[in-house]
Amino acid sequence: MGMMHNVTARLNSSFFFGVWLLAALAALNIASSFFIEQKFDVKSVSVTNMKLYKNTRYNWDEADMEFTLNADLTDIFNWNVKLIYLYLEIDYFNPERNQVIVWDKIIWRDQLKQIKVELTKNKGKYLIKTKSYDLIGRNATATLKWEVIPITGFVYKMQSESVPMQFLEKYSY
Amino acid sequence: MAKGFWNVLGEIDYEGQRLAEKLYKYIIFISCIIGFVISIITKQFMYTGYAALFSTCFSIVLTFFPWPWYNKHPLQWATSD
Repeated sequence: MGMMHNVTARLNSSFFFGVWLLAALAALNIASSFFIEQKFDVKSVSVTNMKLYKNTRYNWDEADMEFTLNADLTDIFNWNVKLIYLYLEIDYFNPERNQVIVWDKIIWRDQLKQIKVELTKNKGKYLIKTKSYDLIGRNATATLKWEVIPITGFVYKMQSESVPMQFLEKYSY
Repeated sequence: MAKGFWNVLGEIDYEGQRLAEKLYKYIIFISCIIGFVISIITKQFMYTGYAALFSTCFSIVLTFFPWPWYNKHPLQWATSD
């Protein structure tokens, strides 16, 4: 009996043929995602109901906001998208630059239809907190960003257009 | 001939080795291609992974053990005189 095709050689070659073929098809999957056009239709992002608090205990400002988001998520999901991490980022200067995520959501590919309804009106998840009383009347921009986590391949980041906004001129209470 | 641990299972002849190699290559390749086409249609890459996994397991079961269809061409040894 030759050693070439004894029982361990057959086990080894059939196992690694399957693994090799799966790797080759995964590489084809990565290659195909370069040709699929990614559309993410963000119709509008707007901050609607903002509240600004003066935290006298810790000597800082806190801002809380609601926002409307009109976006169509259906076209971002191709066959190589596992989930997207969607977040709203507020960018302001006081006077150094700050980037704060006020809302985020992990959207799996099978949650698509309920998300489409849910996205229309949202309450911010996280407060904006500063180091002193320096948030009144600051100009800011709100940007909807998302990171796409694919099944095979690299994670990449995309974003919509920035919308200008302003913090309130006086405290809300 | 030295009898190792793996030889407890038994051996297969040369034609059986050729048949076993053909079998696992065709089974894995065809089922992976079918799974890839299905995952293109349904846009779920998971089907390719399932196809590779199950066809690999199936072909390991098919080629690992010395099934009787691998021993249909026994070697004809020359007599000693």
